[in-house]
Amino acid sequence: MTDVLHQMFSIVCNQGAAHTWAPGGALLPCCQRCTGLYVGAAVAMLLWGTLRLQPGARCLQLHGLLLAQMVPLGLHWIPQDAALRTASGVLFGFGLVPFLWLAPSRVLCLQQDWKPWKTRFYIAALTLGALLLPMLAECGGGGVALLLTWLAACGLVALATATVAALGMGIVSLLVAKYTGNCKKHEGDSEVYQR
Amino acid sequence: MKPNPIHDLACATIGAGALLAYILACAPAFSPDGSKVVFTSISEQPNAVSIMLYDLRSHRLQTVLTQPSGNDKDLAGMMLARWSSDGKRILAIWQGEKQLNVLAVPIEGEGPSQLYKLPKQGSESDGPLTACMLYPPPVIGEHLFVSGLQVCRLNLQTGETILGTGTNGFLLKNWGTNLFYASVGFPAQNVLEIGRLAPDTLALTPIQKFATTLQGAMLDVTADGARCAISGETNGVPHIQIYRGGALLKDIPVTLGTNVVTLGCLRWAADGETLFAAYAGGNSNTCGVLEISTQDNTQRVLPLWHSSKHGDATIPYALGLSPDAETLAVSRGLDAQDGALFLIHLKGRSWLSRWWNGMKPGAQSFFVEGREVTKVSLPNPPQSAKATSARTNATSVKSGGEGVRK
Repeated sequence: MTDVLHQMFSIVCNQGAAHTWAPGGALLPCCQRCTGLYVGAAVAMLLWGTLRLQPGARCLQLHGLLLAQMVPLGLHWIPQDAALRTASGVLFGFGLVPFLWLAPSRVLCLQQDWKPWKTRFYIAALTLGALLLPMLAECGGGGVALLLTWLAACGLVALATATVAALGMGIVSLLVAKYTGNCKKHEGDSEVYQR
Repeated sequence: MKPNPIHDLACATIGAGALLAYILACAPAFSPDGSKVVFTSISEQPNAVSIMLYDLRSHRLQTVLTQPSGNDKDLAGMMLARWSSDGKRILAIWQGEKQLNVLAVPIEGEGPSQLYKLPKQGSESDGPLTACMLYPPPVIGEHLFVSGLQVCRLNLQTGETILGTGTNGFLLKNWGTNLFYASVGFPAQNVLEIGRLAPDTLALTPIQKFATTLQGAMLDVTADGARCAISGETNGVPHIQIYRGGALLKDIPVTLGTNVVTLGCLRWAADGETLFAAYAGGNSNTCGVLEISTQDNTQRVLPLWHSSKHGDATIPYALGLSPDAETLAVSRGLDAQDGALFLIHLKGRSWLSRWWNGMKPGAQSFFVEGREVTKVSLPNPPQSAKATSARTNATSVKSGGEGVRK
């Protein structure tokens, strides 16, 4: 099964051995940054699903910053080590999710009201994830390797699904709104999406 | 926030676009680490030798440099190719009449090529000078280390050269910043000393010394320098011996049928357990690679092409192992006919990768002993060049550093 995962990740990751975690001697199927990205995305997706968070304008702006940090770090404008590479992947993974979450959650009526404790919990999870994941990958054994491999695989599948769903549902919603004339009225809350 | 389908679709597009940009930037095609092979080949031009660059990802073969070759009596026409540490320049090294030439050629068109001339030490018949061409000079950081009566360190940025103490031998190779030398003939002609050379001070630190009865020996050391493999013949039978702490650890006789076998270049894998040896001859009269597990002495024979004559004394190719130890490059660039670069995939590739590579022109794949081999045919040299006798050449797989885009 691990071989299948290695092959699956070979499509999206260069799997350079010099930049790949090997907890307990087992090489993970993707590089350090991709590990952060896919594990981070899996955790973020779980949080958005269970906490029923609602991505508002401020939220999207802040997550846009998380995406933007990949430019200087991904292009190696800033010197970085393995931990920073992984942390930047985690931040990027967290940054992606609300953008992909918005359209499907509206169509499926998943969003709920904002509550302060949810935000605090989310920020704490994001910070801890960025800090703890590199430590876990560096100090962990075979169990950690297995856990991270499967979390990364879940993250990859979840991101692929969310991307297709977000684009698909976004287009469908736009077409529905266009034909019903509600595109710019902003009325009736999510009624138009429920049709 | 009130629902707006245009806003939602824009957000989805931003997310999908960012993810796609990341994946494209991370895809194998964008990583230069271990993605290119450089090797020496007979040029398409008459009486010339070229340094060729092959991109494993794009399957693009290009000529980096062409240099007129001399006659067969001297080494003037023989060029070696090495990578700079950052993988941005190719170092072409060849012997002139009065100096050793090192030409640094940028491969991405950044800046001009730089030529450095190092003074020759001794005559062409000296062993160390020949060894310099058999064991490609190591590159560590900004420095190129050249064997000679004295070790010479060339700064590839400033051109500054520093001479060290005499090794009475030659530099073998470097594993990272570990630089190893082999010293021969002291106190007896058959005694070899393997040691470490400090890149900064050029100080020598012996690791082990042993006497060998093998003739025509080729050497390689493991990454920690503890074990040394040596190939050669004794009583007409090829052997590979492994020494540790000055004592013979293993003696592996190599027999491929009843015909004569000649062993050539040796390469330890990074794990320090697997050894690759070039061979020619055997019952099937082929040239290829032996993959030997030093744990249980099992040998996997990987024949690559038919030899022109039995027991060819000079193995007309060398081996290069990629940094990820997944690909072994074998060049036949200086052989008289059917010049080719062979890439042996030591780790199974996915069906998708095989299918994609099969779509690309210029390369064909086949399987030997369970290993997939990609053969890249080289342009045919002119007839006059075909008559040139085969020589040992070098193959070097690019090893990227921190400059690699991941």
